[in-house]
Amino acid sequence: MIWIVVIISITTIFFHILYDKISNTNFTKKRYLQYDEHLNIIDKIMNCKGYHLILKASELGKIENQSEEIFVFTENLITDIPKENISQIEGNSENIGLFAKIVSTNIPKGKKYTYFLKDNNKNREYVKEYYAYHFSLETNKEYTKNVVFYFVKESEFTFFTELYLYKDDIAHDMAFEWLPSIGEINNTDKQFYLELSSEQVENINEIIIELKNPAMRFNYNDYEEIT
Amino acid sequence: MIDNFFITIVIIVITQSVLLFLYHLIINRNKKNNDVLDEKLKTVEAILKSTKHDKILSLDKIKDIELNSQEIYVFSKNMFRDVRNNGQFAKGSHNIGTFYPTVKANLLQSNIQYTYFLKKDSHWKHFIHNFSQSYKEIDNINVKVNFFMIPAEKYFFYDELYLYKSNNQYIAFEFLPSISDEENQILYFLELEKQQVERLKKIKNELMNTYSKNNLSSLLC
Repeated sequence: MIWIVVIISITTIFFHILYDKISNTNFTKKRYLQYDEHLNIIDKIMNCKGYHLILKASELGKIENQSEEIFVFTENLITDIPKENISQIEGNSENIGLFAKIVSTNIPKGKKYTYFLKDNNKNREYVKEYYAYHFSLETNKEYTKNVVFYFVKESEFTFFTELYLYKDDIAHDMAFEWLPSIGEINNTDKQFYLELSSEQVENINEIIIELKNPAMRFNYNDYEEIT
Repeated sequence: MIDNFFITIVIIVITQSVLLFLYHLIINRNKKNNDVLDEKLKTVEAILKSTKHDKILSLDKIKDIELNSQEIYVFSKNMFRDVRNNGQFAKGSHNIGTFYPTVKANLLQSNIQYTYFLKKDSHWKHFIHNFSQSYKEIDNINVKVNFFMIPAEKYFFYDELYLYKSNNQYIAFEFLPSISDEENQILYFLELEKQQVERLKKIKNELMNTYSKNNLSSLLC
C-alpha cells in the first residue's frame, strides 16, 4: 500500500513540475539569482551614474521651499513669473512659471532671493513684471528688501544653463543646474536638475562674491523709481 | 478489504495534498521573488525612459570624440586632466592626466587645434609649466595650442566644459563631477543641448575677442 501511495504522489508531483516547465510559470531560484546578479550590476551602474542626483522640478521645488536663501543664475527669469504675467517670451518656453508659485509662497515667509541676470532690456522688463506680480499684495511689501537682482554684462554672463544655489541655517549649501538636454522640450513635467558637487558649490559661492557688484544691483526701490 | 482500500485512498489524498501544498509554497515564494524583480525592472525602466540617458557619456566616448575633432576648446581652471602626472601631484591626483594620451595623440597631428580658457589666478603659471613639461618632447606644440587667460574676477565657469568642432559641426560637453567616480576614473559627461552649444560658442567668441591670445612660449616667458 505504501508503494502505491509513493508512486502516485511522485507521479502527481512530476506532472506538476512538467506542467510548470512547459507553461514557464515557475521561476527557479537559480534563474532568480542570475537575474538578481544582472540587476545588481544595473543598480551599481545607475548609482554610479548618479541618477539619484537627478531631480524633477517638483523635487527641486521642495528643496527651494526648505531653503532660507536662494541664489538664481538665469538668462531670462521666466521660471519665476507666471506665463500670464509675461508680456514677451523669448527662448526656451518649457519652464515658464515653473517656480513662480514656490517663489510667491516663499517671499511672505521672509526667504531671500538673489538673482543674477544678463544685463539687457528684456531682462529689465522681466524684473518689472516679477515685482509687479510678486509684490502686488500689500502684505508682501515688507519683504521687498529680501529680493535683489544683479545685472551681469552680457559678455561676462558665462552661465549656459539655469543654476540654483540653496542655503539654509542647518544643512550645507546645495546647488543644482537645469539639464535641458535630458528633458523633454515643451514638457514642464519632464525637466530635470542635477545636484552639483561640493567643489562646484564652492566655485559658485566664489562667483557670487565676484558678481555682487553694488553698481549692478537692482532692488525694489529702483523698480519704484522707474515705474 | 474495502476498509483497506478506503484507508489507502485517504492516505494518498492526504499525502498528495501535503506534497502539493509544499510544492506550491515554494512556487509562491519564487513568484514573490518574481514580483520583486518585476518591481525593480519597472523602476529601472522608468528612470531610463524618463531621461535621455544617452546624453550622459562615459570618458571613453568623449576621448573618441576628441580624437575625431579638428578644433578643441577647453574651459578649465587648471588643465589637470590634460597634463601628465609625473609624480608631482600626490593626494587627490586621480584626475590628473585623464586626457593626456588623447591630447598628446592630437597634438602630434598637424591639423588639430587646442584652445584653452584658463583662470588667471595665483596658480596659472604653475599650470602652464605643468602643461609645457608634459608635452616638451613635441617640438611644434606652440603653434597648435592657444591660451586665453581670463582674469580670476571675470572667470565665471563653475565646472569644466569642452567644445569640439568637427566637420564644421560643434558639439559640447560638461563634466559631471557629482555623478562621476573620480577615484576609479569612471567619469561622466553631459552632452549639451543645441541651444546651449550655440551659447557656449558665443561665450567662446566673446572671450576670444575680449582677451588676447597667447601661445605656450609667450606664457612661459
